[in-house]
Amino acid sequence: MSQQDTVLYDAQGPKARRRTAIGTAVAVLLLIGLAVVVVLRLAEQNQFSMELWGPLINPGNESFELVWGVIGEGIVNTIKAALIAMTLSVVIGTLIAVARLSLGRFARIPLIGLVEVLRGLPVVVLVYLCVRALPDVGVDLSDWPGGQVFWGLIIGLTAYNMVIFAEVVRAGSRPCRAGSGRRRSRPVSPTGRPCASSCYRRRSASCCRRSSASSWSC
Amino acid sequence: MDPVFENFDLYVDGFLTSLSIIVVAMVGSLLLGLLIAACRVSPVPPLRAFGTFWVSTFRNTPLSVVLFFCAFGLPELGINRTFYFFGVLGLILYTSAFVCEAVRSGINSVSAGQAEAARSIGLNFTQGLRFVVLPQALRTVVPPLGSVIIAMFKNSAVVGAFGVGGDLWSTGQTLTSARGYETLPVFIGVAIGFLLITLPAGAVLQIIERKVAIAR
Repeated sequence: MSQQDTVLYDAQGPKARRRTAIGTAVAVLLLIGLAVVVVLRLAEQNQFSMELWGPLINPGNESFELVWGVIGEGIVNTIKAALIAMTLSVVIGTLIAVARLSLGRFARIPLIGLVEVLRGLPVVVLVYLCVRALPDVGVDLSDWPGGQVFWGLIIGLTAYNMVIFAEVVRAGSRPCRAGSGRRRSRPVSPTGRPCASSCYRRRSASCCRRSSASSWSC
Repeated sequence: MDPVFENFDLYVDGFLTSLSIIVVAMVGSLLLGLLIAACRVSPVPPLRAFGTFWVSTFRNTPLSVVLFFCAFGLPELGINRTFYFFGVLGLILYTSAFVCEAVRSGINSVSAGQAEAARSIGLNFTQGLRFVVLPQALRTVVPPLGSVIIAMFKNSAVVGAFGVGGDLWSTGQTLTSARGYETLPVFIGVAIGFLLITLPAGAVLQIIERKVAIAR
C-alpha cells in the first residue's frame, strides 16, 4: 500500500502480506468452485435454454419486439411517475415544513400527526391504498392522462416522500450553531452569561455585542 | 371498519408474523452489517474489497430484486427452504449494506487521535476497534442506524408481498382478493398494524439516543 489512509493499522509487513495472499488465493478458488456449482446446477435445471432467453436476447424471436416494447413502456412510465412524484413531494414537503415551523402550537398538532403517520407506513401500503381505495371513496382518476393506476402510484409515492422531505427541510432549517437559534429568543454571550434584560425584550440577534475581552453588553 | 373486527384474529396473527420477521431481520442485519463494516476498515485489502463489493451490490439493488433472487433463484440452485426463510434472508442481506455504511460513517467520525492513542498503548487492529473506536462510533450512529432499522421494518411489507404468508401485508391481500372485502377498511387495519410497530420504535429510538449520546 503506497498511501496510509487510515490510522487504525500499520501497513502490512512481509509475513502478513504472505498470509493475505494465501488467504485470497484460497477464497478466490472457493468462489470459483461455488460459481461452477451454481452454473452446473442452473444448467441441470435447463435455465440457460434459448427457449427461456430467446424473447430477451434473440432479435429473430417472435416475442422479442413485444417484450422490449413492454419493457420500454415500463421504463418511460417509471421515469414519468418518478419525475412527477419527485416534484410534487419536494414542493408539498417544503410547504409542510414551513407550515410546521411557522404555525402556532395547536395548528401544528394535526400536521405533526400527518407527518408521523405517513412516515410510519410502508410505501407499498400507501401506494396500494391510493391505487385501490381512492376509487372506492369517490376519487376517480381514470380520466386523467395515464389512468387510475399511474396517478394512484404518483399520489402514493408523493404521500410517502413528501413527509420525508418535510423532515429534511425542517432539520435543515434548525440553527446550525447552538448560538444562532438561542439568540433569536434569548440572547446570551458565548460564555453562557445572559445579556441585559433589554435584549430579552427586543429579541434581536444583533443586540448582543462584545464590549471588551471579558464582558458582553447590548 | 367491520372487516377488521370480523377478522381480528387474522390481524393479530399477521401482526405477530410481521413482528417476528422484523426481530429476526433486525438482529441478523445488525450483526452482519457490523461484520461487513469491520471488513471495510480492515488491514487486509481483499477483505476491504469484499466489503465494498457487498455494499455496492446490495445497496444498489432494489429490495424486490434481492428478494426475487432469494425466493425464486435459490430454489433453482437446489436450496429449498420456506418462503419465510428466504424473505428474512433477503431482508437481512439488503439491510446489512445500509447498516454497514452507517457504522462505517461512525468509525470515520471517531477522531484520529483516539485510534492513534489506542495504537500507541499497544492495541492491535481488532483490540483498537473493539475497545476504543467502536464503542464511540456506535454511540454516534444511533440516529442513522435507527432510521435504517425503521426503514427495514417498513420494508418487511415487501417481504410479505413475496409470499411469506400470514404477515400483515398478506393478511390484507387475502382479505381483499380472496374474501372480497373492501380495500379501504382492510388496509387501514394493516396500516394501524404497521404504525403499532413503527411509532413505538421511533419513541424507543429517541430514548436510546438520549441515553447513549455523547457530546463532541
